[in-house]
Amino acid sequence: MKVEEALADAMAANVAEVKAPPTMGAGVRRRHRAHVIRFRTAGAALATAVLAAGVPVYLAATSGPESAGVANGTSTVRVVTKVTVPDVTNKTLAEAQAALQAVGLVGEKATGYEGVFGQEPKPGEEVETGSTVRLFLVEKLPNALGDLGDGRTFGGITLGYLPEGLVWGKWSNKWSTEKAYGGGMVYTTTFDTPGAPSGHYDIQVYVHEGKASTKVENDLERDGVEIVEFGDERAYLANVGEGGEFGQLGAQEGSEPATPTLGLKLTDDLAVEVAMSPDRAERLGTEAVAAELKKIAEGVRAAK
Amino acid sequence: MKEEDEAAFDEFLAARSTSLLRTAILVCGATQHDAEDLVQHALEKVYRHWPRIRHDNPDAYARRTVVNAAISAARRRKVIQEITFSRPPETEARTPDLDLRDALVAELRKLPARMRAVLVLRYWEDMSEHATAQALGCSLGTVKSQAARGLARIRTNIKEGALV
Repeated sequence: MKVEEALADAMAANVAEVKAPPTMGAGVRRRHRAHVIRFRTAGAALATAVLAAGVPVYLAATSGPESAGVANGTSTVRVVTKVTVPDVTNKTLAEAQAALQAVGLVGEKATGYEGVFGQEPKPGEEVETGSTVRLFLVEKLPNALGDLGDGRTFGGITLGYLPEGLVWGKWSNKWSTEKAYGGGMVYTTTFDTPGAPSGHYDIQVYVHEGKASTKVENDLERDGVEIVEFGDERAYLANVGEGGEFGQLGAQEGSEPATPTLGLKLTDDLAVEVAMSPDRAERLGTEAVAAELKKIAEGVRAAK
Repeated sequence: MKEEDEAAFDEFLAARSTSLLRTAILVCGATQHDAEDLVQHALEKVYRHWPRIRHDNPDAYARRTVVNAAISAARRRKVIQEITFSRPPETEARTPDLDLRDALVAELRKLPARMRAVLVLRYWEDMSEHATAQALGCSLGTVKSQAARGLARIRTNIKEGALV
């Protein structure tokens, strides 16, 4: 079988049982009203439903199918244990495994992942113990630079300013750019909103050291990028896509590229990129995005 | 909105919402519940502009909106993998075909969101390269190269003699 045919078959099988609920139209119209209302009463808090993670267990005795019409007159009773699926969304994988094991579900071993961002069935549904709970996982993030404290000093720079409310994401990575530029290293980490679901970040900072800074130099020379000046330093502002393609800031509505990024050449040997998650950018709006990225970039200094 | 518009929107939903939901699940790898949320959100945009777009290919507009939302959702989440929790197997062994399907879907989920969207539109929705490019708002060349690279990656990662 050709890979595209096998893939089409696998995709069709994967969603064959999915049907849009009949409530879709009502949901869309309700959202439409919510959308209109949100504009009128900006700032009103949204009510959030919190699901309790209680796990009552009960036994139900039912006669098995084999009990009907058995010739010798005996009947078999099959015991079905029902459990309520606990809420494991936004827990770590280890916590989720423990919670599922506590109600009698046994999981596959998995390593290299850390956060659960979704589950099926949903919390609160009752299932037989033989049923399957699928966990949707976020990859475990590396910690290449160790404990960075508040995270503001890494890869040879210090961040003098970060938006209020953000904390170090407790992960970091580094890689060599030997192949691409004949030397140099890149270091990166993120700053997140405390309590945000695993995998969500607000601000990501990359430090390009040595020959790696060539990338930022090249990006500064791209046609059509917006250049901002800070004293002697020059920076670009752009929306960067998944494949590294550049677009104008503020063009994220429904189309790519989507990650607002500011690139700055700090010294001969250091360049910095400050990137904002599309989520945060959507909340802030284009003007505030540019202002915030500039403010972070202005606070960047080479570490002593 | 006029009553006639409302009725036409209901017809549109009846005809298209299941297909849009399936597309969203394949592109962003989310649970059905999350995908419903995403599709509702996207359809709200369609509804908002419905009187204007209902005579002008609303299907393509809706799909573009849903696919773009699914790509953003997938990117926000860094969807990498799902695992399954269940009782130790007491069921019969699975057929190799089912395992291959699962493996293919797992490989699909590992691809970057946009590359995945290209494969979903091209091979599941069976859209032409041109229509795929229009739906994603990118060039024909991007569709060709993303499709080829996506298929190549899947082929490399699936160690299965059945695939060529």
